[in-house]
Amino acid sequence: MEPLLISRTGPATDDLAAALEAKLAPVAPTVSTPDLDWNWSDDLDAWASDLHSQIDTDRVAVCTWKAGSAPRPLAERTPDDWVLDVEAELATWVLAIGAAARSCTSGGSVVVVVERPSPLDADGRTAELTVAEGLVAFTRSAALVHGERNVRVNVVTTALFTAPDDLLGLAPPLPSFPGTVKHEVAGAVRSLWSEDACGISGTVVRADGGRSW
Amino acid sequence: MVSEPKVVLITGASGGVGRGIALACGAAGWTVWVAARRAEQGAAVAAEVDNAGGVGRYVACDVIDPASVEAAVAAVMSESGRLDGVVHNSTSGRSSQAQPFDEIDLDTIQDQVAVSVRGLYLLARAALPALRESAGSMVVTTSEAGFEGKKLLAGYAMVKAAQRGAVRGLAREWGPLGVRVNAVAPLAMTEAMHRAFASEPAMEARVKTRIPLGRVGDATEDVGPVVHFLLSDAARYLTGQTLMADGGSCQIT
Repeated sequence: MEPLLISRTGPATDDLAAALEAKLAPVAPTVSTPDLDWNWSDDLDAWASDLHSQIDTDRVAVCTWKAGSAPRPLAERTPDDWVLDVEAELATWVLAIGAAARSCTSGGSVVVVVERPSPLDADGRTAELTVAEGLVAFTRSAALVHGERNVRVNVVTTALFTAPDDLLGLAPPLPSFPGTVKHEVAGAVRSLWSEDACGISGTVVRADGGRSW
Repeated sequence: MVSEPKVVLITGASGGVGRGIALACGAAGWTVWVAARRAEQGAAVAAEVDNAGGVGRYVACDVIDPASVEAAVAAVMSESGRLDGVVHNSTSGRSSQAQPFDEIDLDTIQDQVAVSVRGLYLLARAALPALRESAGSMVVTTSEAGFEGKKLLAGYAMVKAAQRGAVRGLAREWGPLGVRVNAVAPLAMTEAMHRAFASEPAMEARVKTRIPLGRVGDATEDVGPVVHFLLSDAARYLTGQTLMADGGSCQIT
């Protein structure tokens, strides 16, 4: 069965899809009204239903990357920024992770790829960390539920888009930090998809050169 | 180290864990602003704070509404003249509604995100100027669910973990400003837990079995003092942490 990658479109996604030899299922359209009154169902229900119908494989990756956001302190974000950067992200990816876990065939493996800045690199990244930790826990819940039919669900965290130019403290253990889509990230996903990882579920693999702990 | 009396605002303090935190801070002689939507219950807890030895005040606050949160902080500054600490404890009324993972209702999760996560953001944003002035601190009430995940409460687990992410990020952002940010993950008997135990008697034994200390905590005696500590000067070198006030139920490695 051909693996499936659920993600936004863009160069990094294209690289990941190519490295994984996966078919791409694009995520929901942009949120129509990014304000505090935005109703999740209005923009996402139809897409979520359609997404379920696209998943018929034993290997699914859900890549939650949102490239190109500059660091910005939380208190400087407007409520509309907040909705777009945090609430819309959580809404979109909760649906995608839910669809992936539910529709992955028995015995299969779902890997959720999440950009998660390391504790040392979190300045101005509170919004990203909020989303990342939420998705990690949601994935863990998915693993608890779908492990019953032998579907494994894990997380790969990355630092590709949020690594600062000037790193605090010690250099990461691996000089390749923050790594590449093609090697470090795709390699971690393939490992978790493989039978070698048959005993691993509900866990987080940090594909960030050892930067986080 | 003895902390000077402080002025703190606690959201969702009209009952449960929030009430316990309010009473613990009141017992230390602090001024406690009980921020909640339920005026009658909020005023009652404020009166209990008075009786505990502190100064209790009620302020109306809907944590998902920016204007309401800003007004609450402004009310504190207007009457008390300072704000040393804020606790974001509000939780969606739908938090304890069990839902099978594959049948999660989007509206329910959205409500939980609004109260637990947006509320944290709005409170942080509104309180930061005052907390900078007082070299104060923020505490967020999270849950072991955010570490473990939950089969029937996946939305709740998600928002509680998201809160920890926010705490860690804010600790990094606000540390240079002299403001600390921490979280507490309590396990305490609340009205919601009483209802849950009543509806599923086996749950009580199951929950207690996993707690090394053998009992579910008390909001005022077991959780409140931990939050009081985090808000106090005794914790002045502590930021970005989550303290598990859960009798050892969820031991983080």
